[in-house]
Amino acid sequence: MALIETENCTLRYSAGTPFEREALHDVSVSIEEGEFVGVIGHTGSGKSSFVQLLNGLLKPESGRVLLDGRDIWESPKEIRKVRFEVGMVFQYPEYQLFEETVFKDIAFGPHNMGLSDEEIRERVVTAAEWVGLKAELLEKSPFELSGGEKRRAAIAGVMAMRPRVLILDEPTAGLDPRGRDLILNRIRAYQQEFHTTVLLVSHSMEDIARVADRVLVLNNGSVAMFETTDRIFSQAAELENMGLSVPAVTKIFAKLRERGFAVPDSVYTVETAKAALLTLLKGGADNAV
Amino acid sequence: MNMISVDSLRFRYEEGEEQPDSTVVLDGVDLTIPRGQFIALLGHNGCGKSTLAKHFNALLLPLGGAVLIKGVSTADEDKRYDIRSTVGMVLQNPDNQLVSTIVEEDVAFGPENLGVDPAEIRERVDAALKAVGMYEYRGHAAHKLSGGQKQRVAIAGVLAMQPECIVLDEPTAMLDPRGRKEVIDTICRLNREQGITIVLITHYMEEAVLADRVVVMENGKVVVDGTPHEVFSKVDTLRELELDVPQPTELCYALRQVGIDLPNNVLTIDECVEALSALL
Repeated sequence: MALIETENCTLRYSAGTPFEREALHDVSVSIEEGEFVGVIGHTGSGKSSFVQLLNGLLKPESGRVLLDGRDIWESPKEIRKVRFEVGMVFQYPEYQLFEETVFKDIAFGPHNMGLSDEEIRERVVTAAEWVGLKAELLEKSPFELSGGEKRRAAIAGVMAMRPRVLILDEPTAGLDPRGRDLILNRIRAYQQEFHTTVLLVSHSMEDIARVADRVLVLNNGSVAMFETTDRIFSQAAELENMGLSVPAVTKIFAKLRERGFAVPDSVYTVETAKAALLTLLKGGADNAV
Repeated sequence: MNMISVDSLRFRYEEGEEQPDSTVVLDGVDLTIPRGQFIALLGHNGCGKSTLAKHFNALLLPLGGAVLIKGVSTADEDKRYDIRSTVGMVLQNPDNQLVSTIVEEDVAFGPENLGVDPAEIRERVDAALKAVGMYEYRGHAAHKLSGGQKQRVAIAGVLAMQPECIVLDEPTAMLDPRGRKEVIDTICRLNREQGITIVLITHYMEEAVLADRVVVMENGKVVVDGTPHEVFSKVDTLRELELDVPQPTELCYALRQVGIDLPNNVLTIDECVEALSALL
């Protein structure tokens, strides 16, 4: 059974006014436990609306959102519990830090869950370790941290709730390559350790290529594709029509194929590109690299 | 004459002032940017590149050394308006830069403040919107545009002040792939067709390869400076600085490491395809 699922979900903004606009149209998506799903789509394609459905920040007008097979809106008063299980890291989350210390900020979620002080401390310390924040930073004010550290503190605050589904909306936007690599690697390691289901919304095809098992492509509020990462990036023309792109190595391989070279169409990282080319160049003798 | 010359520039944020990072120091920056050049400025967050950029239109003033815009020191208070109309600035977040509700009013804001004659404002606004491909949106509500369109309107707003140089600080960081392409194409065209000097701060290496020159900063100093081919052939140096190289370069580098005979100056997708085709 899927861990989290949307069934024919439709959502309109400003319904009943002249500004009515359909944000999501008949979206049915089913995500398994432990999956790492990339979510892509142009600005306004419905990505943020979609992920906000999953933790009950938005309610579908028609259709259902199921967590463990149960409608999350079955008892609307309990919706807060869903938000502990489906944790959301918003865009530019560092602007939402507000406590006196980093420790208190990360503890905010676990505290709301009603955990004991001891349990809260343990979770805060562990979450800080997971995102690579040094222990001595925990007693500092969030405003003394660098931009990258603030971002990681905000992610730790959601991880500390140990959600079964972790949603991150553009977690690497505006970070430099070092900050980006650190965050992606930590999220990937966390997902593998806890078998957490992760949804990563991103405009960076290279980031998605590196971490996602499957990719959900939204276009004008509808599901355009939902397939394994290699199948997604083998459809370069379709993606470009939707205002998206494919990683540069994928383009290189497409051009090589146009020239008649027998290279695979499922290459989307430098590592897989290198391996595929070595196989070809060395006649398959050395493809273990 | 050089558009910008920076001579032994030193800078540090004062205690309590708004600051991206309290340790940021410009520690003796020397840099000259000739008129008409397109330079990409790279480096980590906190390396000093945004701080340097803010010196280019006198938003910040040197604590030591000097910054000259067309030979005029930014420290010269009487010339500050001239400097700001020579060097325009576009920032990362499009939503923080739009001031009016209608696109053409937003673009007119700059020249209105400069006291330009209304008939000329009309001309400048139309020309600027055409230059960024947003003329047909002139009557639209600015807040309803896509991110890429908003950034192009922000660029038009700067263009309407007829600058000779535009400094863009991560203008594509918040945009989707199409928006990124729209903005970068616009920047390249302004440089090529109107000869406007461009300083582009970015974390995207595929944007940096489009520049005439790439300058890398680290700890408040310029550490690498050259053409994109020169700079990105130094893969080990860039890795030490924990910066990216473009994927085509990275792929060729990875293959060279295991003994495949490929050139070390591959930058673009097409160059990479050529080099690989020669081997396959």
